[in-house]
Amino acid sequence: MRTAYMQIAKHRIFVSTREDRVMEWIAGQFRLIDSPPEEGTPDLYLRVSSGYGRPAAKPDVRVRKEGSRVTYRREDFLLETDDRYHRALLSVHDDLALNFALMVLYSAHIVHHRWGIMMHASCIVEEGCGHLFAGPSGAGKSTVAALSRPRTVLSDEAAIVGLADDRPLAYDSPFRSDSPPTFDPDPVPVASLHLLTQSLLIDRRPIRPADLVYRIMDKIFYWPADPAETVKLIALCGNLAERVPAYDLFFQKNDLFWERIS
Amino acid sequence: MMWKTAVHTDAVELNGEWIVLDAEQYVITRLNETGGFLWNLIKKGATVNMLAEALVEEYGIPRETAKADAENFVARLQEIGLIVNAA
Repeated sequence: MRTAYMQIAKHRIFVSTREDRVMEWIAGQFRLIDSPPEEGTPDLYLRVSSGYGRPAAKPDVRVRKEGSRVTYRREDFLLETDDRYHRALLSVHDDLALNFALMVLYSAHIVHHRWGIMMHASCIVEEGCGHLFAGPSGAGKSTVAALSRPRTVLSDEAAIVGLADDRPLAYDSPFRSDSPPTFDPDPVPVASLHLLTQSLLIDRRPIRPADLVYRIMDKIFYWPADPAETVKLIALCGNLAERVPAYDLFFQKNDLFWERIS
Repeated sequence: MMWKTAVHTDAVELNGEWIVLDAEQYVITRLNETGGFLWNLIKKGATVNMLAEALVEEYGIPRETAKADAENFVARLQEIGLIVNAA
């Protein structure tokens, strides 16, 4: 049996597998760490095997809750977890399925503990602060990330936002579309959130907090399994909207929008 | 008649506006300040008459108007499934 500790944001995940290639997939995509005993027990225990299914033709995930067991199923993975999102079994087709299934599990874990949310957003660091750029697929998250270099890119697809501290914090995300993770363990405070619209003109207009909550609820990575869990999202989104100034950002495909932000 | 908020609903208040999530149906509803005021009273078990009385006290509107407003509000919330009969 191969085992390792991986870390996503501030969460430790103990991973075990019988397969070398699975451990290679994990090491290639996630931050592995030493875990001294004094750090306490892991947040999550995960056992992974491969050889499941086939490449997914559709992105849809089927979710089922029976008693205290929650099952997430797609053509390329089967994830079974307890309803505290503490112990999980995962069977995957390949490394892409592994990454996606972990995103499903991790998003459920952090909402369950009211720790934070994962957003459809890129996150760029400017002068020590994180700026979120949210939107659906095709809105320009990856484009914004690419245009913002050499600034640090904490996410280009799925931003991890911690909401359990004094202020919202953005963490490096291993759930990427184009750019590689930084694996930097230290978060940065979130200074702004932008909802993206590609445009011929550059403009930035404030969004009221209540409007923001209304508009970001569909930009959270979350696969509802149980309404008692899902209901936690509103307080988390409210927490973010209350503390982070938000804007509609109309941007061209160049980096001039940074002049409106910084 | 008394009401209670539907199971698996929660609301946040931001600068006087309210956003309510019905996690069963995954539907979001916006309430203005008065709506949020009444929502909180419903959560505490207020009847329509108590809601009307609270509107009179809080906003100084005529009792008849307050009663009609409270009835309309409750009917609308019931229609969209955010509250159910507590009896």
